[in-house]
Amino acid sequence: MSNFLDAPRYAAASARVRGRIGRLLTPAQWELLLEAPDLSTMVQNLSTTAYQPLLEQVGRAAMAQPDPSRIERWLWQYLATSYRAPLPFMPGATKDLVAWLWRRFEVDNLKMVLRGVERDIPPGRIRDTLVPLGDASGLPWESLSEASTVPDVVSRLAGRFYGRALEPALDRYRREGLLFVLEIRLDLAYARELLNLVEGLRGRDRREAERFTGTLIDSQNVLWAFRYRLYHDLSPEEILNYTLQRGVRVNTRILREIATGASVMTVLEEVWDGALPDLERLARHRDQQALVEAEAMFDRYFYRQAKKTLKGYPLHLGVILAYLVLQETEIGDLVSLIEGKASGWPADRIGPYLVSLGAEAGAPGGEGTG
Amino acid sequence: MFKPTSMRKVNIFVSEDHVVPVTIALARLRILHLDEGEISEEWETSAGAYWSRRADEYTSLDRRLEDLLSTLGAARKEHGQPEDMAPREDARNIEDQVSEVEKMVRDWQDRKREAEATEQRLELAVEGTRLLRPLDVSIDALRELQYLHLAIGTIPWDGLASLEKAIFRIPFAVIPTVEQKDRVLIFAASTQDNAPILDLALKSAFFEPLRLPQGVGGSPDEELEGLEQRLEEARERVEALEDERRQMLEEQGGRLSELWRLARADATVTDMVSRFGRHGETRLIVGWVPEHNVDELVHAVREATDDEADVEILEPRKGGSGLSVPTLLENPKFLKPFEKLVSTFGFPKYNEIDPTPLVALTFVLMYGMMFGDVGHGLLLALGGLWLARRHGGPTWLGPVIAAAGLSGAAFGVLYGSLFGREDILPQLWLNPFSDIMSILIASIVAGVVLLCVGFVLSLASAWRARDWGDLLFSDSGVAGFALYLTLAGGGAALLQGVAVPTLPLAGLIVGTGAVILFRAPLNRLTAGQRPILEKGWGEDLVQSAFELFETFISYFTNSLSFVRLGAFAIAHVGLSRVVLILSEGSSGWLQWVIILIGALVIVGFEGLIVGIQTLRLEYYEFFGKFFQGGGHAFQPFGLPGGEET
Repeated sequence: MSNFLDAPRYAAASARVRGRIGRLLTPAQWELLLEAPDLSTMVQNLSTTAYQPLLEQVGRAAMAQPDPSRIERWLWQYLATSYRAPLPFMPGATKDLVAWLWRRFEVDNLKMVLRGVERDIPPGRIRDTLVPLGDASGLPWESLSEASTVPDVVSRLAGRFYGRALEPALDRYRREGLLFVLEIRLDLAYARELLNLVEGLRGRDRREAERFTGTLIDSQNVLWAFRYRLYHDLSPEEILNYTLQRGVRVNTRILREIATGASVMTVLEEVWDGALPDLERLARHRDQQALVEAEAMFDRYFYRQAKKTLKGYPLHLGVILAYLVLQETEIGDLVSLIEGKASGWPADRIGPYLVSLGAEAGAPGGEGTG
Repeated sequence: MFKPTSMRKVNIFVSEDHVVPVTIALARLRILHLDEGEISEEWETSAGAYWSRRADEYTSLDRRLEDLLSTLGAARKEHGQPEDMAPREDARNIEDQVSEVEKMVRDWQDRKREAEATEQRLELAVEGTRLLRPLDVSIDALRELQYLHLAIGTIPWDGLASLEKAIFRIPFAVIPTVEQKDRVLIFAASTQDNAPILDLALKSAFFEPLRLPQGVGGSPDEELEGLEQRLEEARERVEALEDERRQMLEEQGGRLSELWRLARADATVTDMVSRFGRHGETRLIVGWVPEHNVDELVHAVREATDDEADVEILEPRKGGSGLSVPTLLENPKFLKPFEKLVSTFGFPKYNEIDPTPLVALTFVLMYGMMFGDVGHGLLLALGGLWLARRHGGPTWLGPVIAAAGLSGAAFGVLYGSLFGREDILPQLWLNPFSDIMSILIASIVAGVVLLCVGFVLSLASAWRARDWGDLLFSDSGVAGFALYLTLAGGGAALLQGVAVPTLPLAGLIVGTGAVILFRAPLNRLTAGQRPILEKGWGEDLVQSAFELFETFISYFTNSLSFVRLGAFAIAHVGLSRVVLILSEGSSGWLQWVIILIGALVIVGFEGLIVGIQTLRLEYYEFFGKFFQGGGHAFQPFGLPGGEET
């Protein structure tokens, strides 16, 4: 019955997404890209795939001597556009969810603006680092990049969601001069709203959203908590205040365990209990290395979940979220590949950093996604 | 009507010195649709770095001025253009004036922010002190507790629950009191030896300690009066700053509005100039202008350049796809809303027939035929008129609905139907429910007539595009039209029992069918292309045979599709009768309520369905014969704040 009702709701969005899935790179194309002797050849090869229009915008001259950062920026823009592709065809609350997932690009851009303004970087150069979001974003990027100080950026966001998120941390920023406090407010406000949207769904929509977005929030939350403890040496109280104390599988008790010294493997085992297939690999590592491995493990987990979803019933929210995961993994891998080629690395050295290859092979791919 | 406005391509060659005055003159005229795609390769098209920078500069000034106007609370007047403008020099002048006002406004904003922060702090201090009144201790004593660590201040309200869960290693107390904006005033306490843990937890919850003014340390009762006095003063300061804003608005508002209009106009002009072609010191402006505006454009260019510009006027290429030429539809004002119905399917290409007048007529007639009732039609028309007068929303929809409603009312007169009652008005034509066969046959006849109009328009389109193959041999060309007429005529005669000579009829069907079957080789033959058979006899013939079969089927289904005109007319009467029967079960006011709700359901729900069905007939059956769309609208560039042509 649920499937019957979902079919008309997701028919158009699903068709749109299926078309885009067909444009994802094939294993043969990946092989060609990976085996390219240098960045220029790799970019030439990429221009024979679905990314051709993108690279044409970068310019033919740029393809001869490619500027990695410029191409990467275009790729992120492509990804941001992909998030919006199914939106016009999506129903009600699920549309809000995917639109909010897209807002992550706004959050990332805002962080770049805050960092740029704090370091007194000229507005034009700040704008060059932002992912172009077009008319879909209602934020005044030009005005924000021209702000003279960080509080000035926040004042230009007054009355908006981001302004409301940042204002409470402004006095502390003025006292301590740490951007960290603003960025953490931004991340928390964004993730809290994302979780609210997941919790606002019902039935199969809710289950699919929890499977992808809920797991994403949980994994990020757990990884944040470990990073605060292992890299920033924060107190347990600070760790709890700087994380979301709820989620799909994560709760205050889990976070308290992390904050008071539980190992990465213990926590992941307790929270995901068999859902992460390569968990035993973590046993070989100390906590810091295990954390890096855990990040790659989550990337592979999402990739495999997405592939599995696409083999099943085609008309539900999961298909759209699965496409977004695959597209994001592909762009992430392309960026890793571009960085690797730009550094003159051979294919066998780059390969382990590609999530899709690792996940497809069931082997330890995506080791360096951090 | 039927034919978009005739266009001319213009190539304007001007020197770098004259490019600005020419652009301003053209922008004021608002008759040129720029077309960068038509600039040939030998011209640089991205060489306007100087002008691109200028455009960015003006866009930035435009935005800064918008910010200033919005901060001062000035209403922006979109209409009006600057009298004089000099895009090469205006930037510095605007920048100086904007910087001067910005400095003033930023200073005011800082003072306002500070005054508001003081006001909020004092409000909290007053509230906090009031809460401490029952305690018989001084504020200084609370600051120096021996065993207890007490922190008073605010945290964001969304962090309160998290804070209480975050402190799990020590005994503590957090007492929320009053809320202010997005924050809540709390009293937090722990033992002195746990103070560092509590402080870290509070800090990470974005706690802001309550800062009491200097010298406040006595008993809450003693200090409250002084704090309230200070709060009153702070509020007066905020109010005074509001007066200052109003004063600034009065003094600077007019000047800022003028500067804003100038910056916007300069941004438009410089952006345009940056996109023109360049070859040394010569600039090339390429675009499209309605034929009747050519003289006006030439005159304006010559005047702006002291007759030193070259203007080349070219006719659009004959027989092309018409895709590059913009389309300016030329319809009377009352038909404009129906243009939207057409463009929802596709905007007419330049060399295509504009179907708007026919759509206006056929849409209204077909809608009326399906929705024939005087009462329901007038209700729908009233709804359309209300929608047309309403601000916001699509402006075209109201008039279309009103026209459809009036047509429904007119057919209601023919059917003699008023809110489903057929005993009040005389019946002038037929009753769809009683004369079912008549209305269904009338529907098919109407469909056949409309399809014939579609065939004629298709022939005209092919003629205009000089597409002889399509004109003669296609299923919507002469051969197709002849086949359709033969089939329709034969079918009608058969139904009427009229004897027709079988052999000539069969000959016509076979002959025209054969032409359509061999249209691909015939097309190539007439176009002088060789070989005549592109894929060989077998493949070509099999493909054509299937297409011919599909053509036969489509002629039949297209015609039969119009049965829905009658079917919906019958359904409308049936639905109205159901409402009347339901109402007869009640009496008094309840009866009227049922009739009213029934009428609203019929107008809203059935009105929508009939609209969709009418659009389907237009888009699928009618347009399918002759209209493709895919053109783009003529959009002349102009200064912001000017009138659209």
